[in-house]
Amino acid sequence: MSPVLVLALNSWVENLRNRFFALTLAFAGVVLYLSMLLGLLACDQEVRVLLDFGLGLIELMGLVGAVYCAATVVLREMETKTVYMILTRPVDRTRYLLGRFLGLMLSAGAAMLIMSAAHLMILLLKGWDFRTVYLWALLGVFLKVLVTASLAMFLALLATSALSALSITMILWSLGHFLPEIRLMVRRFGSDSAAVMAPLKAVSWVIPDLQLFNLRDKLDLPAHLSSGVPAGSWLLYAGCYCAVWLAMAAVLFRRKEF
Amino acid sequence: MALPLGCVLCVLLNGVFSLRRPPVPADPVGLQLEESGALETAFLFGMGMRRLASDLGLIRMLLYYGGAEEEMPGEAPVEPAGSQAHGHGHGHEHRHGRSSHYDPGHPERPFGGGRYPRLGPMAMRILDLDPSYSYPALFAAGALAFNLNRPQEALWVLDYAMKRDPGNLRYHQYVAAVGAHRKGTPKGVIGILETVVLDPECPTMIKNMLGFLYFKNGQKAKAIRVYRQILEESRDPSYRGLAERMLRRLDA
Amino acid sequence: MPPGLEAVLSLTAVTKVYVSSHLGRKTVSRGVSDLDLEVRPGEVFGLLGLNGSGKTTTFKLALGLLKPTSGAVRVLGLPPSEPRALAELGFLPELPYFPGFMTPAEILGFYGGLSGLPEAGLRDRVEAVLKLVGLSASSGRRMGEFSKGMVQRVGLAQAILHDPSLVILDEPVSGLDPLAIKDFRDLLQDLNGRGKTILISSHSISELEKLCHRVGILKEGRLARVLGRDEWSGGLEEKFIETVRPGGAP
Repeated sequence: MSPVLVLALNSWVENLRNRFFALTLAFAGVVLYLSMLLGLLACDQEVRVLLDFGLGLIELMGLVGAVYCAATVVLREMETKTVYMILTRPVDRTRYLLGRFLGLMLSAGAAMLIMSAAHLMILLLKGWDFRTVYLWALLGVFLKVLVTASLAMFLALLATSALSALSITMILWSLGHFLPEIRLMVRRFGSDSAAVMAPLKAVSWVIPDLQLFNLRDKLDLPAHLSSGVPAGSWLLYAGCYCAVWLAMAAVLFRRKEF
Repeated sequence: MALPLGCVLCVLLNGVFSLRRPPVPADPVGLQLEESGALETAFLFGMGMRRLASDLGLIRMLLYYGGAEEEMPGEAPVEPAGSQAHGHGHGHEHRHGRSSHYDPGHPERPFGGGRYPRLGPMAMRILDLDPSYSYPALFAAGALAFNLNRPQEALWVLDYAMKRDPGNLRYHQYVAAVGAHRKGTPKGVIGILETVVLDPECPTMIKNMLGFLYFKNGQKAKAIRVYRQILEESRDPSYRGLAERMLRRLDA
Repeated sequence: MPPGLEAVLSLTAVTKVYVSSHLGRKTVSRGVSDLDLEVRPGEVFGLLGLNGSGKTTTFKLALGLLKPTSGAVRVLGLPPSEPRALAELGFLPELPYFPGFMTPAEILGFYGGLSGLPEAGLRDRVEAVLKLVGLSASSGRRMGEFSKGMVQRVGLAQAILHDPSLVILDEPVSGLDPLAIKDFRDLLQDLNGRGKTILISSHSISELEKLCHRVGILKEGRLARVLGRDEWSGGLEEKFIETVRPGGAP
């Protein structure tokens, strides 16, 4: 078995047995229950509220778990010297990072599947008619989580601090949802206040465009659905964005001395 | 070196993908923060949860409309909400001291007496957050036109909605219904509402309105059908209770 | 191991300078200076030194975890970062960490996979190594239940799993009780008897006396002295103190 797969499976097993993972799922269950209570207040629109709240929760919980793992896995192994026992074997450092990231993908994907299974069960019990757009929205959420996690992994190696990496990653995740507004602001005020807008413009070109994948937030937009889900664009963008930051993480890690 | 190189690659990546994306709309209305709930809206937007922001807006609107009515200046306060009905008392028969029946023969008579002045603006705010979300606008327009007897405000809400979602035919149907109500033609209102209630997104309030119009016009069988449908399908306990009472009244 | 190889591990005129900068201020320190060290095939070589003398730096240079500022490091004639060199190296860090929820068998399976051991024979190899380190009976127990001595044995097991030529052990008996120390020493002697070359560092001079063929004493980043077994028959401790005391051997 390739070292990448060995590392990925090891991460998967570790995350599965990790209390944090179990707590995340338990917390998700509690919040899903609370969303049912909120749905009651919406009466006729109960199912819509359940749908939106549930998908939002799946993203948040998946994101928290994945970003936490991405920001801490390498740093923790450096701290406990586990990384010594790995890197003193014929394991390429880039493959090491890829293996850990793949394990993270598997764990995040599994957590999201479990939560969405519970979510779907509740929706169907409430009389919702299943639509495939739900699965596309879930894919969009998963890709968002991966893109954000790749950033977290890079930032953890750059900052050598999990807390810094987590904080900056969450800020970037939030900014990634504001991109349409940021672009509008730059367009509207760019000519009058070019110097002031310049940093914002620069940031807007670097941060990931998370609204691209945010089908969860546009489930009923006819225009969006009639033209078909741009899954190919999603996968390409997410793949390229992850590749960029994982490659940069590998650059940092290859030069790292222990 | 890694950070600047990564940034450069992301610029290229975002540049390539921005070429494939539709241009930013000329006048997006999404992030207009209002006085109350500004932080919450910004927070939810930052998490990519505009739909959830609109859902919370709807819940607030329903709680507002289902809460105690605001006093009209110079008038005695009405009975507190919930004295006989649970949840949303949308200006119905048991809710207020005065007659709260909608009387299409006398549309000039105020219905219920409550103002709920923020009902229209709340619905419009939800449309700002999610222009495709028609339910709040339909609900508010229906309440304003038929319960609160403020058809002009209802038309403002519908106009606001149509500007944001011009392809949505529901708004045109409601405009026609409000017009018929203004003219004082109950049969005209019934005819339009019969089409409107076929829409799965139709608020239960409108179905209830239709049932009541059938009842007033002596169309008992049709009234029973509507109230039975409400009893089976509605998630609003107050409307289900009301439907039960009407069915008993109609000896169904 | 290539025939006629004189040294399993060689460090030739190796210097390692650490440079750290904080808010524009640079701090320079030397880990090792002009270090010449050779470990011969089949021997047990001990490395002694005070804290900060460069023992861990030397190990990390040998393992490719650090790159020398100048000089050359060779493992079996190859740079330590070469996969072929790494395949011949086994390393036990000081106080190794293993996840508490994993069993020794799972841990060794993981490290065996990383070492490229074929899946077909991995299980048998894991069983054999666990038997060698005396943990057959505990192979299914979780690491969280293990004593320090047992954890060290698992650490040694992962270091020898892929049958390396050179095993590097950093303070392997640190924190162990006397019985565990004896057991560990016996294991290492057994390994050496099977042809393994061992490079070991320890603060326990008596352990190195019992185990090593040669001992190198590091002082301020330099190899101050190398003693053969016949040279410390009078007492290694005296020789060590004599060397590291200020004004002792340069």
